Amino acid sequence: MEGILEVQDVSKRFNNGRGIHNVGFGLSKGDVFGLFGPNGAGKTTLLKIITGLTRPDRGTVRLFGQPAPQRFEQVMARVGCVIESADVYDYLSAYENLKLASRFYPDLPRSRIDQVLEEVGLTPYKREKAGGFSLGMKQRLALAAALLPNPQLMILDEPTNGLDIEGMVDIRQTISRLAGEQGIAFLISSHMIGDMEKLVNRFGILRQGALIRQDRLQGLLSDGLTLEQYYLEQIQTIKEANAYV
Amino acid sequence: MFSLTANWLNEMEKLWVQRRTKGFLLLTVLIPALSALALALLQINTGIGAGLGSDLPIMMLGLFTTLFLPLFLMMTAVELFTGETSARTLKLVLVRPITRAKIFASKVLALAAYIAVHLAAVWAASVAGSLLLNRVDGSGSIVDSMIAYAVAFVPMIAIGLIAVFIAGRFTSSAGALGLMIFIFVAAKLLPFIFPEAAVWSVFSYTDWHTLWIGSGASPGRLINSFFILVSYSMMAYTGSLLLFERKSF
Repeated sequence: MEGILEVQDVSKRFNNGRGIHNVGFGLSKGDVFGLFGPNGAGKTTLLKIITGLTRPDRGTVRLFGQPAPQRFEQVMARVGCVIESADVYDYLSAYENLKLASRFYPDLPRSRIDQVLEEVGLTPYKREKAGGFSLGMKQRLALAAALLPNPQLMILDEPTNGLDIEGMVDIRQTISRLAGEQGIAFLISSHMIGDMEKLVNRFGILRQGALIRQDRLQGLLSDGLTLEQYYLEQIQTIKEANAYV
Repeated sequence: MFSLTANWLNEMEKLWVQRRTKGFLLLTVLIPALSALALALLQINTGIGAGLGSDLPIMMLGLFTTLFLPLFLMMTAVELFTGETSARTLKLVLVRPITRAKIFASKVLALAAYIAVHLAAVWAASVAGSLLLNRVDGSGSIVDSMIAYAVAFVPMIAIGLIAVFIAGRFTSSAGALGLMIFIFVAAKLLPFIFPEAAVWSVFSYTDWHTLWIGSGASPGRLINSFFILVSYSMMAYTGSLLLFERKSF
């Protein structure tokens, strides 16, 4: 299996004492890795470190076998991401938003913009200003921008946040299709475990900045547990262990 | 180089689509044009101001480099840095295949292009106004004004880079702009209390172009003041870049 992402002993501590410590995991081609944890567990911090938005205090991030900070342009050309929130340029149309993003990829044909707009169902709104979009439509536009360069790794932070049921199902189906048909690896953070269970094949649980568990979903389901039950079980175990200490 | 050009084009496009940019550019053309019209009316009705037509490009340059352009530059620097950080759209570029050093350089290049476009617009409008007044004394005054406008770029980019340095420290656009205006006004008033501030304060060089026209200043003074402006620009650029590279988003 080709190593897509390798995170080793990554730590980051903020002034308020929060952050992540000694986090390590890896992703291979075809993996759909769910990163779960309560709000404030450090999911977004970890994704920001992987994408270079935040520098870690220590530890290394390798993308496609190369050190990400040193080979940033080369590795990020193969990554698509939506971090923290679906931010777009409100004063530009959906098409113009994607046109700006497309300039970073010299070999990308202009027709790719229409293609991704079609994939996320925004073709009828392509000439409308993004400022008038609902949260769900902005989420779709951000997803289209991430998909634009035909990435081999997609990093999505809470991708179904703010979406209605139909939107959630659409996003799930899009991710499943891209992972299945194109072999794109996904790293998805979420606190909506039940929703993600239908999507991921691997998962990690992040709590208070530490990656307390990581496993394959298949083994878990064969034990008759749902991901949600397993998650709650693990959290309870940790709580009890902490209370005992 | 490719990613630098790509983001420079993006920054230019983002600036251009904003109403404020178009409004400022319109103002830049209208002020010299209206001034020429006012002078023409004054000449026709009273005969006063007959000698001012040929000086219009330099008068306008003085007005713009002292007042309008620094203000436009501050607002644009805030838009390029603080505005994008607070709107969380800077992230959209930071996760693309481009290094932070190139993002920073492309934004500064966009600011430089903004200055060049405004100076060119003021020059074109004022020269056209002078022609309207029929007060251009041959090609000599046009060449003189071209030199003055070209050299005016140097203090403007220095002020622009200082504005970038301040903008990078803020998360609120209003706060950044407020501090910039305060510093600019204070720096302009400072030489009245401490005359020596006129030598070392970068804000005292907004009329630097006047040294280059007519008999002008000695080469030694020109070189000396040029290096003061370049030093300020280099310090502001490297300081801002260093902080931009280290910042968490």
